[in-house]
Amino acid sequence: MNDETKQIPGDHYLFGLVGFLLRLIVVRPLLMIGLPVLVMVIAYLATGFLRPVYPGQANLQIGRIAGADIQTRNTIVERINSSAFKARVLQTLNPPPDQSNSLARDIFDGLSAQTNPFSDWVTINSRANTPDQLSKIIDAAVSLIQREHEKIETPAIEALRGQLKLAETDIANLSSLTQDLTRALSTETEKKVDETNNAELTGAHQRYSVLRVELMNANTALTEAATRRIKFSEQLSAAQSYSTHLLDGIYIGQQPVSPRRLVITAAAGAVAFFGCLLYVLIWLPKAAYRS
Amino acid sequence: MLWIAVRRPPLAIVFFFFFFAFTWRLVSVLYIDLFGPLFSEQLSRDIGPGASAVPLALSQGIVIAALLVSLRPRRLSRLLTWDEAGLASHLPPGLFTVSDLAFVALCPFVIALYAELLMRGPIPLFEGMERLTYTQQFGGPLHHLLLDWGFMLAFQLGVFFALPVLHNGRFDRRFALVLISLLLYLVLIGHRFSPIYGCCSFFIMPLGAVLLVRGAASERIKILRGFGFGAAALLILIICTVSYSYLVVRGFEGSELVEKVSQRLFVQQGEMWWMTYERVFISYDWDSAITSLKLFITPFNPHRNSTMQYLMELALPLSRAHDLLGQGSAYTGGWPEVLFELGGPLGGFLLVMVAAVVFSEFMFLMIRCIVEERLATTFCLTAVFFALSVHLVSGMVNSFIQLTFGVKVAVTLVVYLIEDRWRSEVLSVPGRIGLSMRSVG
Repeated sequence: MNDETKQIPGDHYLFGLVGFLLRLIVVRPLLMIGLPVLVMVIAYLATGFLRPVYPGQANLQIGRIAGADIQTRNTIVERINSSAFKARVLQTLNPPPDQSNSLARDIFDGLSAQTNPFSDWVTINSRANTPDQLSKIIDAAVSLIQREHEKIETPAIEALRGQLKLAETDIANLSSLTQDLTRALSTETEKKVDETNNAELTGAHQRYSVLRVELMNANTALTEAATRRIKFSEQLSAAQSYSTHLLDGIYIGQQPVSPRRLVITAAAGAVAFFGCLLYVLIWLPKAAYRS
Repeated sequence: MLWIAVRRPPLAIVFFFFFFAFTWRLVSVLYIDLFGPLFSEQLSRDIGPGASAVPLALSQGIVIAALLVSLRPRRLSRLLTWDEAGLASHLPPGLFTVSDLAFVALCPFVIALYAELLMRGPIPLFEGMERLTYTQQFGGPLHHLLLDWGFMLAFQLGVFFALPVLHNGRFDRRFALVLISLLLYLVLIGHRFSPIYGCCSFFIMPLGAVLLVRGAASERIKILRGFGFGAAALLILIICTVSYSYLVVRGFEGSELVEKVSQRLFVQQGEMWWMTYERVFISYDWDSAITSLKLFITPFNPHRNSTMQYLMELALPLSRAHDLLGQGSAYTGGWPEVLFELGGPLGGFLLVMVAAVVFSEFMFLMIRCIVEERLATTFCLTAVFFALSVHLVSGMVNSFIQLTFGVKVAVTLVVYLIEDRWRSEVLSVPGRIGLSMRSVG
């Protein structure tokens, strides 16, 4: 016997298996086709009674103060995914009693956040039975985060502005001081001194040195104040300090994502077919379908 | 494991993937136990010394014992009593074989895979790019398909490669060529060790299964010698790729290189087990309820292995763990850590025993399907086998509660029953050989 005869022929193997499956179906057509079709019809009709679910999404850019995130993205994701936060969202929305249960279900089951290593924002996803409800849920979640961030952001920005103002005051004072010292120094330079009088000469020299050192110190302080002003201005600029905000508005899907009528119908049919197949294979005697 | 490698090499081939991982982890844990305290870069803390190797070795021993019982020679020898000639002798000659069909289906995939690599832009090996970066930024659909299903594909290739040996034929080398082309692709996209070792290990599993029940000792030695050459070539390839990655791509040198390599070889493999050992066996600190919750209900990322996510959350500051997980990184290990986190020091061993029995019996079923040429069932079982393999190496348990896993098991059961009934029909009629011999007689 050569190798070829020992290899399983692909056509006979595949058609053999498929033919056997068809034979199982033909043996009990009512069971193998009728029952799955019936289950599919029931599933199709039943899905009509399920409430639609709409998807929504928003991208939240985390605010920054002086180039540093107000909170890390992972902290915010953990927060939004926590039950405590979801309870606060529900509390904020304060739904009427008849909507309370459905809204709570939408929030606790549907509201979630996630982060992506290649982006610097947090994506908030939610699901609800109506687009209006969905919009309210995302809005409430975003507002809660924004309000909390404002509490951190406002004093920090005020402190930075105070520092900037202080630097500007320092610059104004030091500029005036340097002008005074420059004037005094030039007056001292132009003053005529009796060069034969040693004491007068030494006094003039000392006054000149003191004024010069004071001017140099004032200039150094002025430079430092100017540097501080640049630093604080940069930190307060729109590139380094901004509030937590939505990037593209809230997206609300116009078509419900659930119930997926065709998928549920097909899945129900498949489950019924598999069940019938197992029944035929396990419980029916082999003689019932032997060729 | 050494005893198995010497006395029953085919068994060692089947379980090479697991035994290699077991050995590496055990050596690493022993190193931590004996030479600790050692600084772990990934955990940013000292670990060791201790006796953590003892429960780990016991757990691994339980799995090996279960395998030896399930795959005892007498039980395996019964597998070939059904029909020495094979299924083919009971079917009429066909236009093409199942192997031909598989090969024709695979060729366009491999060609398209390379075409996608060339069209997508950079080739990581030549650009010095990290594989994760390539996958995230450039990887196409076929690339992702290979990374997700590569091990299972390698297993199927191995089945078609080894099947002719069942009837004293030669290996179907076409499938070895397909494997080599896939390995080359993996090297080109910057992979160094894990996928290459995984693909090769899955590829040789069916070969080991066939050798377990077939072939005289002399034939086995010949095959094993060939296997040795292949393994040596692969080892050289892995050494080259690892060296290239550490020296060129990452640019480590001197003491930093030594430190990185020692961390990778001796610390990272065992550090997560040591953390579990410290929590469960030393501090008696485990909580089955919280562990179940974090594994099955609220993992950080439910689409990935929740075991390592939970272990990292326990071992690291939460924000750091989430940062790393968010980037797609995960540490090594997971089994048997997850079972001890779930069951505690005693319950953990019980869970290990359950897992070992399920795995070993499943492996017997798998080997049976291969040697009985139940190709459709083997194909379906591969997906279930992969989930079990990932559990035994990485401790993944959340895959078992996924709907898709349930569907896979259900489909496999139905396919098994259909193939079984059909085969019994086919084998109940005299085969071509039987007929021809009768006609000659």
